[in-house]
Amino acid sequence: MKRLAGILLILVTVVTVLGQRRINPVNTPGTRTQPVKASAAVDSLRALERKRARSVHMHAADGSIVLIDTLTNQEWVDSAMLPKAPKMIYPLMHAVSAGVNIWDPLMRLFGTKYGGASAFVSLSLHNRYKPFFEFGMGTAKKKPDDQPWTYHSPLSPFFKIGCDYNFVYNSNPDYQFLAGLRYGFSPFKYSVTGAVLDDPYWGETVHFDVPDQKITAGWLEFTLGLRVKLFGPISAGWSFSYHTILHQSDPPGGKAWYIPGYGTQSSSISGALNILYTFNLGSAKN
Amino acid sequence: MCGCNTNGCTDWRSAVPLAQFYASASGKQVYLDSVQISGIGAPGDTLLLAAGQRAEKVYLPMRATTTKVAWRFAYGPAVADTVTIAYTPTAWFASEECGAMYKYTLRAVEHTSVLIDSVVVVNPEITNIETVSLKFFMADSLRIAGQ
Repeated sequence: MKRLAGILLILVTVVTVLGQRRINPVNTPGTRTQPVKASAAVDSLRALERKRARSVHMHAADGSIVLIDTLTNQEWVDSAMLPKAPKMIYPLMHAVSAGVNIWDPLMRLFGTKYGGASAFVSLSLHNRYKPFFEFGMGTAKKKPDDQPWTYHSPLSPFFKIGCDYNFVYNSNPDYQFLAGLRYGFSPFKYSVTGAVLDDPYWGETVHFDVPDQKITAGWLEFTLGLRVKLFGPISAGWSFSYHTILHQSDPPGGKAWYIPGYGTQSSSISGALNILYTFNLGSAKN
Repeated sequence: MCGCNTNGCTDWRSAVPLAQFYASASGKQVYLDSVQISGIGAPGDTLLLAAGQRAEKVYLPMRATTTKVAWRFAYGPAVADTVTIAYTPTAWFASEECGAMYKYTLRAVEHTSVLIDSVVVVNPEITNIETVSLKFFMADSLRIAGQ
């Protein structure tokens, strides 16, 4: 009996061991127990939500909403409830300005032998972008002191189209700091009269003219300027521009000395002095 | 020579072609020192280059009143070449500094070949800008300095 019990015990043990499942521990990072550590942002958000929950709203005399923390009895500002500041406070159709450029007439008083006058219109979009169109007329007549010839360029039109950018667009529109880009174009003609060729070798003196030369020229202008209010809707603007000729006719009689709206061929810098009248179309957003 | 600006206006206030000389065999630039150059029809046969005068380049003036001009290259009392150039003169405004003058567009070059092997038109548009317009290639038998 003892022997039978022993055998039975061994059998039961073997069967039990054989029936057990083998478990191979899986040792990968994903299965390791990791401590839960909330980020600072999550903590802050949870604290804000708790604060909102325990706060009460009150309306101030100016209509604004005041939050009072019932735990600390202190006022606080929930930035999420504040209205977001608009990117551009002025409306799309903000204003229209019309003006005249008096730089050339002013330079004539100082003795320049070329120039004219021009008028322009500028649209203010958000007080930030200002499309621009200018039309003017220019003429030139010059006889150098030491030369017998006279350069003539009759009154001819020029056009400029472009856009200015106001760097202080969310500030008072009475004062503007502008940078701009313009394309200018002019069809015009010139002639030279009274020229003399004195040829000592062949013993000849020739009197001649350069007949009318028709030219079209286009150029690019980069401008920088200021605009300030004088009184009421009247303001004044000053600007300096760097310009470069993009294309120009090459007639047989040679290139022109003066290009209406541009200045002399050799000049790369010019200026403008504007008087403007502004029509307001919209006001700033509160 | 007075300069009105960097474009180089000349005393004659005219566009003048600039000629340089080369040895025909080697192609190297040379000086002339035994050639007399004059314009045919110039008052008093005024010389552009006198014999014995050393020159590596010569200005050959054009005439605004005609469309053809000729120059004589004399190597001795009875030995000479003639170069004739046909061109179109055009009234031209150079600049505010240099003023108005004539420019010349070369159309054809003819020459005798006593000692001139060939004439090459490098730049057919003659203005007041100083640039080589004509290259004369001279025969080896011509005594040329710097060859």
